[in-house]
Amino acid sequence: MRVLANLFLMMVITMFQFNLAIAQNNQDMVQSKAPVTHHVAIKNFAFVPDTIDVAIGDKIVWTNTDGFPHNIVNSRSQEILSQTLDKGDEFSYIVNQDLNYECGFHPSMRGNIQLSRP
Amino acid sequence: MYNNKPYIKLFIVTSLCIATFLASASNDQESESTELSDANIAAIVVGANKIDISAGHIALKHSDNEQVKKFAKLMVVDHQSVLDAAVELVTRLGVVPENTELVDTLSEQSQQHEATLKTLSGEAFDKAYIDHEVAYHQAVIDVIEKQLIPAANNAELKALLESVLPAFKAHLDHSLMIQQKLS
Repeated sequence: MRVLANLFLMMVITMFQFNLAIAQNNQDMVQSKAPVTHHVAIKNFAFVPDTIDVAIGDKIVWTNTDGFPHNIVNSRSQEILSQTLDKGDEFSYIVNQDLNYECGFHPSMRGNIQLSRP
Repeated sequence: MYNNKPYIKLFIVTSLCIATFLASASNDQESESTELSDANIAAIVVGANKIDISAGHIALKHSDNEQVKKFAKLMVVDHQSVLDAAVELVTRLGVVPENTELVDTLSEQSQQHEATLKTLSGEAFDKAYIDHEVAYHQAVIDVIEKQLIPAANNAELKALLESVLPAFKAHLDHSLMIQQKLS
């Protein structure tokens, strides 16, 4: 009888530890998929940094620090993504795909958002 | 059919004159950059921006090419921003712009260039305007880097010159992109 009781206790402890491990693993997965906010400065007629590695759902925030108007345009489709950004203005964008972008006013200003972060 | 060739030739000569004059002015005074006062620098900055704004207005009126018009509009907006910032700064500093030979020559050549532009149309106009913008921005960048920034005494004026350089370089890159497409 005592042997059975010990066995039962060991099973309970093992199951508890197993559940704890699963819970920890789930928590890690949630943390790795949590959206990240990336900041891009528009400075001296350049996007800084000009390339960022992101995951779907991440947020990009561009801030114009130049005294000249800029905006964000999809280089491939030429879709205008942002309003005109004057000095101090910000624009946020939730990533759902790779994006090569440029300033619609100054097309030599180019940036790249690539889906490579796990 | 209107023959634009003589005007194109005249334009090319004028553009080369601007580039050569600005380059030689830059080289001559590279070692004597302190000769330029802040008042001289203010006059050059104001004059150079007014010239490009004026050319931009002409392009907006005469060009039918969407890319060229978009670029011209940008030149008007961006150079007006630089002009406003420069005027605000020199007013606050109490600096009265003082013309130099460079400003007088730029102004004279700008008038010739505008007179030429007004006689052109279509592709000839677009090519003349954009070719001049390429040469003009290359020359102005050279003068700012080699002559004006080293000569500026006031820290705020020097900072203004340094802050407008990226804009002028972006304009040069943009004009080169359009030049390539036009050719």
